[in-house]
Amino acid sequence: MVAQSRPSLKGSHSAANSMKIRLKVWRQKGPDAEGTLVDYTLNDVSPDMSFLEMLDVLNESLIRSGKDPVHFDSDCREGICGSCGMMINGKAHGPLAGTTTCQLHMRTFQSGDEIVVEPWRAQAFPVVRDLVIDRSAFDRIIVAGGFISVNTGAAPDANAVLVPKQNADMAMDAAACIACGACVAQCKNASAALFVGAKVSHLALLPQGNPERSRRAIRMVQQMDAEGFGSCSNEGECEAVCPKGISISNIARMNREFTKASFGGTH
Amino acid sequence: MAGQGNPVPSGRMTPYTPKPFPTVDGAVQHRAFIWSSIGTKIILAITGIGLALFLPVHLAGNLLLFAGAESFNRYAHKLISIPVLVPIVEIGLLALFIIHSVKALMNFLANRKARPTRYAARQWAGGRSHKTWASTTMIISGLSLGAFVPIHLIQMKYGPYFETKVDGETVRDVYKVVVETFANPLNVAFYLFCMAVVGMHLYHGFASAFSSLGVSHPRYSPVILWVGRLFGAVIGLGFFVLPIYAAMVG
Repeated sequence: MVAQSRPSLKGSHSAANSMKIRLKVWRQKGPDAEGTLVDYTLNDVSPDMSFLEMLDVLNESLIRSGKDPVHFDSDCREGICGSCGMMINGKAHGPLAGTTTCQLHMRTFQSGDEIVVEPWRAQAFPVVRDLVIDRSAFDRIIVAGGFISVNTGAAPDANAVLVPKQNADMAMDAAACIACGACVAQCKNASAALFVGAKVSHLALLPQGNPERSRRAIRMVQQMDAEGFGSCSNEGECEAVCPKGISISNIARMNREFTKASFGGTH
Repeated sequence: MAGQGNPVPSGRMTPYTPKPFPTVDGAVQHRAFIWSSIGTKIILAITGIGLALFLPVHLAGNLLLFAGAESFNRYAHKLISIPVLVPIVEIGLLALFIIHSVKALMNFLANRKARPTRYAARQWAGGRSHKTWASTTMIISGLSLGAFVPIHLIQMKYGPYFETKVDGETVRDVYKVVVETFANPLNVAFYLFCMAVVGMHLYHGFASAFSSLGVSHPRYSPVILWVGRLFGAVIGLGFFVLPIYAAMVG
């Protein structure tokens, strides 16, 4: 047998292709504290790092030098949990379409680039610290109507509830929303229409969502307004930055659902 | 220990308490449809389409300027001689105009409040977004039109009164009002600017109104978007030629 040469464990990261990144990161000690953009320079960034791993490297060096690390949210780091939102050079989740911040890699940037990192900005998303924002406004919208009532006990036979394939597909597309808040962050009005539209649509398209259909539309929209989100200008910025590519047709459906429910629905 | 003036001791996080969850019943104070964000946009859409539909009618009539003084004055005279319809349409347009303006202003202020802190760096999303300069400046174009319409009415409808004879009948010489107004290059410049603004407002507004009304279709929505943009361009360009022509005639 011929001995196979093992691939280098060093991977592609070497001094030759390490990147220099200049960061401007929003630092804010607490919800009521004044914040400011702080400059950091990283000289040895691997193009294979994710954006969050690059921030991890920054934090390691900050901790080593006894400084306060940059606070940011992250959880799954595989693009499905919706935790890791940040504004990267003025674009929610950075320059790539259909990508969460954790799935954005440093190879997207050039060595020497300056990257401005800011938290989502919305009255309804107060900054907790640095890049961490409080998205519980979304939770309260879900509590207001993003649920269905089911009898506990034996599950109904799968074939007993008929769902047209087209509706199942559209409901699934809407249900792909991970509630990251990029739609709110990118919208010039800080509108939550895409998020609420996705949640209203997801359940309105399925028979299981029908009992609370009108009530849901009314309550979720009222809660959305009460939280202080703006209105929809139909620009479609939200759809363009949505990591799950949720379509703004869901906003149109929400508008139809809300109007129908407002005039004659039971709620 | 930090002093009293500093609520944030260095290195320690300020305790953060999120808003409590509402109970499901009585979760939110009831707000009527018309005051909701979606109701507001639907009212803006309906009043906006109403106002937009007036423009092709107005433009078609005004294009009679090219047919000469007599045709234009005959048309104007016949139009204002229609009983009942004209005052009803005028009051209707005024109501649409006021509702659209007030709602748009309130909506704009509410949207400003929704983002109290602005971004240091800002980029358009690109890709599937329809964001344009027209869509970002709707409040500016709207405010400009809000100023233009009264000025326009004062200059034309309530402007100087000249008389002329058409088919043996004494009628108002509106043609002369138009020509005299545009003899002033300042008026020409002002109108050209405002007509570009009206085109921009429609460029985004027309299709946006349909989206607000919940019209969405994978095949027809892009068609509506481009019909709206074309509508804005045609109306803007159509009105654009009138002051230039009137200035050349005068």
